[in-house]
Amino acid sequence: MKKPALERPVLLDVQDITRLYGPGKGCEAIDFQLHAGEVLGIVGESGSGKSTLLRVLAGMEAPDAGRVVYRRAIHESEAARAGAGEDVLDKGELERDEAELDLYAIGEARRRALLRLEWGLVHQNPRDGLRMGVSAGANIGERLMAQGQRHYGQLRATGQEWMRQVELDPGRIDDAPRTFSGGMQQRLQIARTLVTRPRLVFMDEPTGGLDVSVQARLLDMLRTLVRQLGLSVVLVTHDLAVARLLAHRLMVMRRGQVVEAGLTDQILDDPQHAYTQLLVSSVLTP
Amino acid sequence: MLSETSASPKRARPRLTVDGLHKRFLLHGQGGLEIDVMRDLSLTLDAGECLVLAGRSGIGKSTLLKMLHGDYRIDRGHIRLHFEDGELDLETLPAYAWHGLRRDVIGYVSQFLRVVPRVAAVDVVMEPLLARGADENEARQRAETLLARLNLPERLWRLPPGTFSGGEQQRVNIARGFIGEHPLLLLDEPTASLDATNRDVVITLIGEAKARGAAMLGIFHDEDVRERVADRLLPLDDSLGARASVTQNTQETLS
Repeated sequence: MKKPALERPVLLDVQDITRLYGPGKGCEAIDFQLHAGEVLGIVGESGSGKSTLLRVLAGMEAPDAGRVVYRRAIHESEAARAGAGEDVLDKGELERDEAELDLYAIGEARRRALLRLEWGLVHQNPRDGLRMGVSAGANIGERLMAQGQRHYGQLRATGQEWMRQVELDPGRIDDAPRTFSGGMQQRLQIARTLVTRPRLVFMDEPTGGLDVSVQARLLDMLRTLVRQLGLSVVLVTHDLAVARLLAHRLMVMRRGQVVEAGLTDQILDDPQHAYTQLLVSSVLTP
Repeated sequence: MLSETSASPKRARPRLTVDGLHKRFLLHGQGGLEIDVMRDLSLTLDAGECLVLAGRSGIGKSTLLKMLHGDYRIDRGHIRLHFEDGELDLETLPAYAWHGLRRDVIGYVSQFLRVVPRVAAVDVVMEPLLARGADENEARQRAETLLARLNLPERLWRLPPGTFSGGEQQRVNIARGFIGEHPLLLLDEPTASLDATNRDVVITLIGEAKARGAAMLGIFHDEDVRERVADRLLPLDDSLGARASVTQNTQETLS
């Protein structure tokens, strides 16, 4: 048999990111690359800096130092292949021929356009990612409309299709999210985020606030969507079991720094750093 | 350095060579306890053969499989895969490259099933094919065929395996491991909790994998099974590892 093609292009190049609120508070000197199609888990206890890092990566908070570079050259050909509603995308603010975007050098307007057009963010609390007062359908349609889709019937059909995809009753498309349970709200937020088929998705404890019985279904759904849409994901979680099931690769953070990184199985089955060993051996198994 | 007991009569192309492999665990929480679980292990595995690891429990058989699958880090030594058009060294492979390697080249049947709760058995089995972009109906059909061959009652196919018996879970695990027809298969006691009928099915599956040229490295405690599947035996003994020593306390203060 022939040698397998194992190379994967780099999608996100994170160079020496520091964002500190005080000594040991925030994140410091973070360096890594996310490859296309990878799910990277960032694990650590609360206060380890993982959420700060995610905010910097996702364009919500400028770092004190370092660069976040998005290599979107590969995105174009893949989006064309997927036929992801390319004709309606209004990429005015994002020049299409630009291969690399330095997230905090491109300016506010273009950064917002990038977040709206090519990236997605799933908050831990669905109330932070949803508009609670407007209907489920409007929530799903909003990002599409921001991309220039205006056809009401089509937006509604897409909304119903995505509700089915995340196992919500499409008959509730006109109901406001505040009438949904927490698990349903989280699934709606995921539909709202993924409807534009982002290439890169950031998730902050996506199963965090949910009942255990709802978590399992959501985990399975996320795995399926990652595979079907070919998503690349940066996932922040304190839950090592969630990390095991979703992430290909892990970074372990402690006091703002990455203490260990590697394949998920290596980190969890053969941890090298004293802190990782402590973390892994402290997990309760029922 | 360990020599293999009996060389196979005609040598095919090697698919895997392992050279001078070492593995040491350093347990910070145990006062810096160091356990050498493997010392200077070497082997060659050809396409179409099944090499069975033998030796007492705790000698490092599973450790070797886990190192080959990337679950354990490779401290020292070389693991090399051979292809028609070149070689691949696993000890220097970057983490991201393992994803594709596990999907397409190295398959693993572990002793325990680890899956997302509440996912149906048949979906668990077909996942390796879907990961390669296979057609869903085709993947489902192949999964059902395998589950039927392994005598898993049809009423269980749509149920999550969490509540299944040990033997039933193991059969789901075997189906998931064999469905991808990986060219290198690591088998960690796939027949441990099976009855005679299903042991025979697994032996047949291993035979079919050999016939299509898969190279297999396995652990089988059942002597009957071992004799029927093994082309060669690789005995591991105490010269290779399982020695613990406490060195100076290297534990970092975790306050």
